[in-house]
Amino acid sequence: MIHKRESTLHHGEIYRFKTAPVDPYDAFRGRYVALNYEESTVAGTWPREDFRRGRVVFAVLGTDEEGFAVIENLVTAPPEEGDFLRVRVGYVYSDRIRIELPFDRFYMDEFSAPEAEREFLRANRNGGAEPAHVVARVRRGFGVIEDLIVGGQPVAEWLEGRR
Amino acid sequence: MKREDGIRWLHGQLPGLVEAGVLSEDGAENLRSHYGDAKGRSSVPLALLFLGVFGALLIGSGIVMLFAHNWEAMTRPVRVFVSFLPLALAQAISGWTLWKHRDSTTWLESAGSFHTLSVGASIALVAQTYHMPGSFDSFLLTWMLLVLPMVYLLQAIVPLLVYFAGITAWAGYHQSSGDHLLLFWPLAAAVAPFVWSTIRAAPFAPRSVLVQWGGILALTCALGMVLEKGFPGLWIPVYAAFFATLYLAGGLVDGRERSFWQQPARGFGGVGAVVLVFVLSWSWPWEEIGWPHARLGTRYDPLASWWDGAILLALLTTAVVLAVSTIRRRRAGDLVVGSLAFLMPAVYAIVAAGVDPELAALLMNAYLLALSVALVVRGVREVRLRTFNGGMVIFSALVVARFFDSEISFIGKGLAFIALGVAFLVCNIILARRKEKAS
Repeated sequence: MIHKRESTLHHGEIYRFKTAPVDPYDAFRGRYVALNYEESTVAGTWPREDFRRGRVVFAVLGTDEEGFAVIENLVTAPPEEGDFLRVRVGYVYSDRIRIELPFDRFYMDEFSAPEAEREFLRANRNGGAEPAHVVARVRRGFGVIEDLIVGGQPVAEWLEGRR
Repeated sequence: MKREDGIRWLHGQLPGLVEAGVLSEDGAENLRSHYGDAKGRSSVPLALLFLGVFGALLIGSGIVMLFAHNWEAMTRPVRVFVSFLPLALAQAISGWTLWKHRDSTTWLESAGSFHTLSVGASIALVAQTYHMPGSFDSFLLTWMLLVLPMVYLLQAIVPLLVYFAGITAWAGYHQSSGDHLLLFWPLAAAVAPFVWSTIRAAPFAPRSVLVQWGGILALTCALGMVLEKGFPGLWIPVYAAFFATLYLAGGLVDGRERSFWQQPARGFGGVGAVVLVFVLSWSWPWEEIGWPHARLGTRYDPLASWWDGAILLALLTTAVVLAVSTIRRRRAGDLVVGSLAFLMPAVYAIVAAGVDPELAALLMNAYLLALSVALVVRGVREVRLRTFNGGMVIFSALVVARFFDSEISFIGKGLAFIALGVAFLVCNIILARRKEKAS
């Protein structure tokens, strides 16, 4: 459990996923920023028998011109080349599919998490907030979050600068 | 009087009896050695037990909360090290308990309580450190699977009660994922041998009673959640068979001198069955039920839907075995409630086959009326206040429910109420005359 994550953090490829942070609460694990990814919806029509809700599929990763991660394709077997993520199928629509990326939460200090959400919304309202994104390491279908970047900085530093 | 209390009483009496010359010194000594030392017996100091368990639970919860704060200043390796500290401490305490205090309930329960919470705290902190995905249900599942061995190793009740609550909460949270909940059954079956051996050892001991209440409450809550509901309304026969089976199973041990709280299966099964029939005395639960309305599409797992049927079948088979045993032990009176296990599936079947749901509701009303009258009559005849009051409560609830039932016309209700009132007055007069004659 720990070894797999440590080796991914050390040897995995870096990908950036655009996201918007919101702040929920978990009585046991503490406060976290729930991550809502633009990339979790993939356009296209998918065969119903292979892409049923809850099934495990593989998302083939690429990057766009700005350097953010994009999902190029969804396949049912792990691809032999390139980076990919093991994901679960969420809701299936006629023209698109929702997938559950393996990093949906970023745990933070109990005081910082709500502040991060508030500050992010404020910055966004005034316009010009740089898109927040998650830096994740990906290796052999497995992904681990390294940091949450807001306004071009790790979220902790960004909050520090705004205080 | 309990055996332990009796022995303690006897020990108190012996010196007086020797002094009065009723018993020789040797005789008194023989009695002492025959019954054993009263103090040496398991007179569990209850206060110590509660203090130990609550202390352990409070410290454990405190650690969970401290961890939940998320100490960002710590580096990843430090956090991983810290995550395992409470777990290592709990394992040391549990190991010490098994080694040195194997016979002390206070030690076993306190160690079990602390161990249970430290497992939760440790996996929570590791999950937090690596921003692990996964909703609350997957966290609960991991936690409960790790608590399971402790139930058997420490033979403690607190971890078992947490386990019951945990797997029930897992079922509740996992329901929203759209996945089926078949995993609940192996999870529940995993503690069945421990539950069974605890109950068999001493059915009315506080430990055994707690286990029964925990298990019954968890099953009652979980049953409705784990059903896939591919066949609408299947909960009706399933719950009826469940409560009736509990009631009949509770009757296997003679609990006539025991309180309601001491016999959860019989008490809760009986009350549950009556409450269920009461809910079903309206016609709405009976509408659009059964196989004509089966929904086995993509949203409902076909395997899990058929498994619902298997649960019902298993409950019915158990109920048949228990009913036969009940008749053999000449306690046919128990079948008034026990027969609901068979009555309800029959009514479910005829409504599914196309009979008016109103008829089903009417049958439920007739059943409750008959049951309440039978209880009142029995209560009067055997001068048992609890039975009499039970009958009166059911009857009053039925009357109030029907008085406010907007589905029935005022004329129908009015006539039925007057007829019932006359019947009661006539019964009253007959009873009073009989009593007069008898005296």
